[in-house]
Amino acid sequence: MHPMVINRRDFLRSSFIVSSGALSNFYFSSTAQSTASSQEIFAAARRQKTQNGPANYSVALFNKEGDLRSVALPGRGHDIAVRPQQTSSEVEVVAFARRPGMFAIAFSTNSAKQPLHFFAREDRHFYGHGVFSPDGKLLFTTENDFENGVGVIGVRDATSNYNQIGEFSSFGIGPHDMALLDDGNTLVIANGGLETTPETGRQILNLPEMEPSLVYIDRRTGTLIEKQTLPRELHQLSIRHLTVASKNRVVFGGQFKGPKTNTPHLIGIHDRGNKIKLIEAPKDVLHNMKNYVGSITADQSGEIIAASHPRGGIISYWDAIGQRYLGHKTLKDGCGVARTHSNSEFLLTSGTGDVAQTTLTSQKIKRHEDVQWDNHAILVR
Amino acid sequence: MLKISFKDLYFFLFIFIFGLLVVSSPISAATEANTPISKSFKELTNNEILEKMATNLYKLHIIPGYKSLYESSQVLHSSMVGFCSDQNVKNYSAVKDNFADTVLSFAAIEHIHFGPIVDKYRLERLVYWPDHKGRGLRAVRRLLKTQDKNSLAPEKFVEKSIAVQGLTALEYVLYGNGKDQTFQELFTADEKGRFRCNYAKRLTANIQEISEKVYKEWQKQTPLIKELLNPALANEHYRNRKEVLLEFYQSVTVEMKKIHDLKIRALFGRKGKRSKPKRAPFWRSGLTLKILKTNIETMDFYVQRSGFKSLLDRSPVDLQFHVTKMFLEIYASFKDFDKGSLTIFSIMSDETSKAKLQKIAKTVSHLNVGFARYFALAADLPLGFNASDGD
Repeated sequence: MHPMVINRRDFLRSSFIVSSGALSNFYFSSTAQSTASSQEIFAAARRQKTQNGPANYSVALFNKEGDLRSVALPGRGHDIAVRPQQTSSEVEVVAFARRPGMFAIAFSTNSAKQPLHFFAREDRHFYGHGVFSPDGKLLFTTENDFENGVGVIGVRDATSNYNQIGEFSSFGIGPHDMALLDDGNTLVIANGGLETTPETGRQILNLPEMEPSLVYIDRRTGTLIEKQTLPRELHQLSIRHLTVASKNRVVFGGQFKGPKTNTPHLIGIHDRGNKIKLIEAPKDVLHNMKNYVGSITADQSGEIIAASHPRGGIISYWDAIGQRYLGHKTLKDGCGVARTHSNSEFLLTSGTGDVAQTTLTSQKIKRHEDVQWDNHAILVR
Repeated sequence: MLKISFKDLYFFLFIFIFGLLVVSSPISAATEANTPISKSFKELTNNEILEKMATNLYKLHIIPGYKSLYESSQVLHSSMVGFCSDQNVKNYSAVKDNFADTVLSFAAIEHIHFGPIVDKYRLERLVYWPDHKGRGLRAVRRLLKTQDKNSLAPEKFVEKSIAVQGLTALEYVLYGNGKDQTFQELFTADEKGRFRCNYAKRLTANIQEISEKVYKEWQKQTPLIKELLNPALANEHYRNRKEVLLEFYQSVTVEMKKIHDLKIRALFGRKGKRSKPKRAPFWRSGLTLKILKTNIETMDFYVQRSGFKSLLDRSPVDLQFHVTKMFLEIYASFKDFDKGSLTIFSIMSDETSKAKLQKIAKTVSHLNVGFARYFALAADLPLGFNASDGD
């Protein structure tokens, strides 16, 4: 119901409780074509049931054999950002609180290093997503300036305990997912258009006036390069999650907040300098998408897109080049979608504890009854 | 407004909550093959029960609810016209009484977020709340200040900001700053006062028109409502009973969350230490507590009339005690508020009363968690960890 109120002391106490380690069972089996899967490392936040107490939240780095490291979180987590330019023996990630949370935690595969926690400013909260600069020195985070009701991008120095060193406008309300284009300087941001405050939790305060947008910003200067909005009749289609496909084509997944009986197409593509285009889905698939995309990602090649629809229990696949629907598979409460090192292959996670390795033609699922995987999963290495 | 006796409320609530908690518990699922409890679990997925639930809610809750809103809005408009042609204390008092009836009729049905009410922004046009950062209020004040007569023509009025078209706007027009302003102070005997009255009449006419359309569309069963009552694979929107049940289910959970988050917790400020009673709905007219009570009563009514009680095979005394205790606490708090003639302002300035209000929020929250956890599971609704409220 109301967002959990966590003070810094609680956080300090909880974040040093590192979970007891790997789950005993293998998370998933390798497919024949996934030759690299034994080396692949993924990350995802989750809720884990315990034998003698309440369930706890954590974020895990894991491979097919189970957890490599798991760190407790004081509340529900959301997405994870991978820090580039690291050594072959160590990889660092940052996990973010689910909106309207204010905590984030950096940790690595090196269990000798304590997790490092940091927070949003008193008058900001995180939206659950962030991205590093290509050199791994700066972290950019989507945040809410809730006093003024505008979105901002926080800038933090990853080389100095993630101290905040700057901030610039997201040029919209409710920035959510964010990615970096190939040039290493252009941020693309999904401004969902939804206004919320910590006091009112996850309640949307501006449904009638929503204006989602897709914006491109120069991360070095904070200047707006391009802003695209949807036609007025789609102003309640919140642009929420995005991925950068090949040739810097941005593919996004929306969540429609208008009447449920309106079912607009939810997957959009955008090439710089052009208008947003929505990709058509077959009527029955659209029905099962339930006006909701929980997560979206491009495969290794950047040509195949997977999008999750946990409300309808399906994962849909799209051709980013041909701009068309390819097919779908079912996965109850499936939401996390990560690329792997193989073309056309994805790792999926679900709220029912499933971890699946999937392609357009196959899907291998392994269930872990004591785990509920959160919205996002990501390939770390 | 729909009314039920406390005795009925007590009985049906117990039955419903117990059904949720017991029938769908992991223990019952694990012992499905052997116990009478598991039989109820199976019954829940039975099409006949789901069909009965939808029909019950349609006939016994939605139709009477919108009928009441439409009828009260008719009376409100009529009294508003009467007041504007003969401004006196009696007529002003009648308008305020009818305004309260209409607001409470709305409160009894405000949780329905599907069907004709969400068409053409009717819901937001009827009640623009929460009015975050006072945007809606500013728009109403602007209209009163500019006195743009043309904007009150019906065809022009519906094109104005949705914030200036409904009950929230009318509350400001009727009550001003909420500090017992007299009607003579608000509806002055000059051009400004005349515009205020004309605006009030346009508002009540608009409220009546929206209410009438919503009621009649439900009543005559538009294609969408026919689909809702007769889900089938060939339908465009509602293809099976679970999709319909999900619609009704979410009406309850979303409203309970709204009661908790927006109507109560938000009044305590960000860290729960400040009092912000002006964030409450309809504080100017002093209707906040009545709205809250109506919302909660309606949740009870909605649940007990739907057929959820069919789930129950037997009842353990301890759970009955627990659930009953929760609701007794809620109603005892409202009774205390009534006894002391408390308003949301006096409650928020007194620590004991504040604690009671917080307790209500907590109980509503507990009920909602139980509802989400057990009912969704029992009915096998697609409401998983990642599918509840969007991110």
